[in-house]
Amino acid sequence: MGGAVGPIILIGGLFLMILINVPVAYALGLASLATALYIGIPAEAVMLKASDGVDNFALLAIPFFVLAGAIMAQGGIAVRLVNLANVFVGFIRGGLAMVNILASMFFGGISGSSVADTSSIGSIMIPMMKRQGYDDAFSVNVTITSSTQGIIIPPSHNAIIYAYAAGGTVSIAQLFLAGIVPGVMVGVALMILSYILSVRRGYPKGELVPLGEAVRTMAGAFLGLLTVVIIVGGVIGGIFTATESAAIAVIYAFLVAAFAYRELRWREMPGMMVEVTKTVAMVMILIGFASSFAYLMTLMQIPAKVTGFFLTISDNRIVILLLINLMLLVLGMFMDMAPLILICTPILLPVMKAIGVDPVHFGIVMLLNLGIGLVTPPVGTTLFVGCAIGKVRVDEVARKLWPFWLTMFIVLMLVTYIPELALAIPHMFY
Amino acid sequence: MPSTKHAYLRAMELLQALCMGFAALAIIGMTLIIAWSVYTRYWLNLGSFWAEPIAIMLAVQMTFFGAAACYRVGGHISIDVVTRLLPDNGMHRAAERLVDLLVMVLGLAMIWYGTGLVRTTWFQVYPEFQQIRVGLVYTAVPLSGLVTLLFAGERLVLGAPPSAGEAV
Repeated sequence: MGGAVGPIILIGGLFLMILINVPVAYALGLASLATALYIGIPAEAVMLKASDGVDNFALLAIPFFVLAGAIMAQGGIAVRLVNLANVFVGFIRGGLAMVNILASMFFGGISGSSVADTSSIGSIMIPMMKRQGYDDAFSVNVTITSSTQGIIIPPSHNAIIYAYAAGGTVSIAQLFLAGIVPGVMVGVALMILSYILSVRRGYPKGELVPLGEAVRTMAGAFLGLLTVVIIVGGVIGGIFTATESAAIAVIYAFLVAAFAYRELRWREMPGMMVEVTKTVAMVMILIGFASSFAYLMTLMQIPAKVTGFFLTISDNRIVILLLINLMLLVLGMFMDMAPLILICTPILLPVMKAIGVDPVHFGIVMLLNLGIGLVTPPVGTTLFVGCAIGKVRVDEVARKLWPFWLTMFIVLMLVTYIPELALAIPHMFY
Repeated sequence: MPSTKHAYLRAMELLQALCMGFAALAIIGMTLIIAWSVYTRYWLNLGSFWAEPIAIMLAVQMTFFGAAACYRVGGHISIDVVTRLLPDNGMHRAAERLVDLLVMVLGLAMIWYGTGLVRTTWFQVYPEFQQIRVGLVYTAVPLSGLVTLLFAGERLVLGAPPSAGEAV
């Protein structure tokens, strides 16, 4: 259907509109609309797919996760996680950098958003690091790269977007489990790097936390971290669906923040809800119009043609995986995560299936890869937020990013070529 | 006429607040409904058949009206690396106007084809609720299309609204 012109209108139109700064969600809708009119299918179908695209129970987990994360962030969880991380790694050389990374690992279990992590943990850690003599750009780079752990450490709403874009063939529980080892690997690799850099630059180490205080700190953070246990445990144990456990997590987070931590201010709630609504509506409308877009791609058999194209270049798994990783790294430099997951998954997943890559494994590779894209210039949401909080120029941070980039790239390659890193834990359960 | 301009700006501000407020309440509503249904199922042993479909309906409304409000505050993902490179101010403005026009086209299409969608599905009912028509859910498409059209028109004629800069 559509010959060669249909796909050109759809994909060429999309990129042209994105380049002139049309919101990506609307560009997806407009490109789908133009293509539908050209190939002569009723344009009502585009609107039907956009609406039915968000008419899905599994997707309700997205607003719930975002809301639970926002309540926790507002309710003072970040300080407690920083204190908790300080108990474990604060006394090592370059301790604050390590505390930053470990706190992001914990926070990732609660929020799943790299931007939220950078603004919560970063606004505590970056000023603290600067006061203790850490380089400005170093502090920001540690913050932004470690915040990408949250994308893969469960629960993550981006994992749900991937499961959805994969057409419901990938289990959310398996994706959650598969993210644990690669997520921790990112954290450990960054800690090793920051230790080496800290020793070289003579950054200070902190004090060992006395036992009594350590126990109190752990108890305080435990209540917050129980959110992760509720969600992940409920989903994996099959007690709740991801959506149900996310809704319970919101109620739980609210109770902890309001009555245990007592840091939730009623007058801050409307502002918080506006931020949550903006994030959620932005992601959901993307999903809607991306469904129209995917419908037209399938109608014109674009995914099948792309698979054929990749297989003519090479039928070697190693080569194709490398090519796709490089392509996603480049796309990630310019575009945000959610639209790339939604646009690329229906195109690339058939290629992966053709060369025998597990869809769960590919999901983790993709999340890890696009996470790197969030911190690389010229367009990197997390990079920009980190620079704004650290009051450092973007180009200065970007210039000193490379050791961190390289570390994340090495982890990406390990996770790409050793599928067991992602798949070992899910295979224990399924 | 500055007074007409001012009145339109105020009206759009109100419309934005309405959409945002409605979407935010929908999110809270969805959360409470799903949490309630889990509670009734595990502790009272009662399934609530209405919870899931109602929560999903709210999600659809939230998506379309929330996205329209999000557009006015500049909250959508878009890429300005290329347009930032455009040399002279005139070309920059022209690109911005083109984007506003394209969004208006989408708004019009949502009104036109969305209305078609509502019409064709108006006589279908949900299996769970005989009273609720399927077409009612789809009204979000043309209505939010109208809101988007009004916001894009505002941007085209009056420029970016004053509140747009605050959004990150």
